[in-house]
Amino acid sequence: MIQDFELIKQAQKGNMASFEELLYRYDKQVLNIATSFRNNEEDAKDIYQEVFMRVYKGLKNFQFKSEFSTWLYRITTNVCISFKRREGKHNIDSLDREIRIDDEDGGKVSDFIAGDEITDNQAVGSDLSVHIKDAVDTLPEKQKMAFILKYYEGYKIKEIAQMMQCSDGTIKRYLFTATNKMRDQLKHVFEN
Amino acid sequence: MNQERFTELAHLYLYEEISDSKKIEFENYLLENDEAHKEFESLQQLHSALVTSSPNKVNERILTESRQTLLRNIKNLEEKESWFVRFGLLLKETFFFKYRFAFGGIATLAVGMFMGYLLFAPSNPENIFEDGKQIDIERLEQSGIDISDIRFRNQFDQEGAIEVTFNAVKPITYKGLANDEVMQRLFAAALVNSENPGTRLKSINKIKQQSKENFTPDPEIKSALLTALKVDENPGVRREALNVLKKYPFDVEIRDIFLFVLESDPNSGLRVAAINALVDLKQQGKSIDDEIKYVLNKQIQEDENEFIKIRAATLLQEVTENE
Repeated sequence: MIQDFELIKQAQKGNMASFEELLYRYDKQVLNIATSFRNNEEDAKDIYQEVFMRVYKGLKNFQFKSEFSTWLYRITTNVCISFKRREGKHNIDSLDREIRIDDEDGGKVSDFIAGDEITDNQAVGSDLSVHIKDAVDTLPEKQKMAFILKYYEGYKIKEIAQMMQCSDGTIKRYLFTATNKMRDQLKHVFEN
Repeated sequence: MNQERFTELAHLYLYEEISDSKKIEFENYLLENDEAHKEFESLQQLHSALVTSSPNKVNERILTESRQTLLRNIKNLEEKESWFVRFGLLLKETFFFKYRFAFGGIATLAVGMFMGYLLFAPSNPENIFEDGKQIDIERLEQSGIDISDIRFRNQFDQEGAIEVTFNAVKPITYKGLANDEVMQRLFAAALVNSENPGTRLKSINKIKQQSKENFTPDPEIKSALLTALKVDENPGVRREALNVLKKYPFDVEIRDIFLFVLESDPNSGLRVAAINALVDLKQQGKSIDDEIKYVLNKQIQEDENEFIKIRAATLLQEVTENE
């Protein structure tokens, strides 16, 4: 199998087949991350396009200072975190979607409307994974990204830190805080 | 051990990212402390619930659609950029290297004439605009000018008038035989650039009429067909492109595109056509190499269509028996 290095060199010279080969090696993982993060097929497709258009435009200046995969996943996490839904395309927000104020804090839309009442979905739904999915959606963007990369994609803390361009300690903090929040949110499910 | 330290070690333990020495320290702490042990068990239960709740991975259809859209977007971007680059180079070559003084003079003269025209030309030209507000649409249409890309500049001004801009491009007519080179290139350009699937299909049919078995194809036309088969969103266009490419002399590019269709095309009819093309190749005595065998094997395992699975298995078996 041709090494990434060779494919990148060829792609930098304008060889489209090499770019496609690189794309086919990594794009499934990018789409998986985007799908887990947005929980929406159309948003995931938009993120895929944005990531690989950035990769295509930036590849000419790629200087091999990091692994290609690290660079790619860095772009992926940045695009996911900064992704804004296209106006008019998906303009309906769930009541359980969080209004994010900064990295650490946030509150659900439902909190602003119905105080501490739980939503119908939570009250009726019996499937644990549905509750978990809802709880993940309430996490602030960076905590949510760290959580998904760790629990769903199985990356090591060090790898996540490289992808998200921060220290191991920060990732640990994101993960521990996220897990604690999840624990609080899922308390009633486990008790039942 | 304080709460913060306990939380960190417990998580690292569950992630299997704890060093051996810390692992021993943590396990000893759990043995000595019942409350901590309970807390850890509760965390462990949460951890396994979270890990097993991982959402389903994306399916191949979404992946294929995304790939096709991306390749189309890149192609559009390249075309736009290459036009600007070519235009820039032409300007640079013309004005900065070869005839800069001559062209400088001509450009000055042209600018002077243009300014003169703007200053002294009658303000009410007789051909299109009647009085600066009304456009003689009939005359526009009679002159064969194509009106496109109408944009609203001002919705309404104070007097209620609307201002619009539009492109009015006069078409160029070229008359020639279907097999002449210019005509064939025009078909290739239409195949790749036209937004109308009917036009793209017509172009392929014209190319097809001129494509006899195993003749040497024009590289530009071949490239247009390969692109269409890979990224055109209309399955009818992709199928016709595949039919024409079957007539071309077999080479690695054609092998790769057949394999691409067999592996990635969302339309099962096209995947069947691709595997049939590979069967034809074998019957013509062409070699079925390792790349083809690999994809056949993959399709036997993964294709959703039973017919393709069986066809792939039969072809692979025939090839193996002949070896």
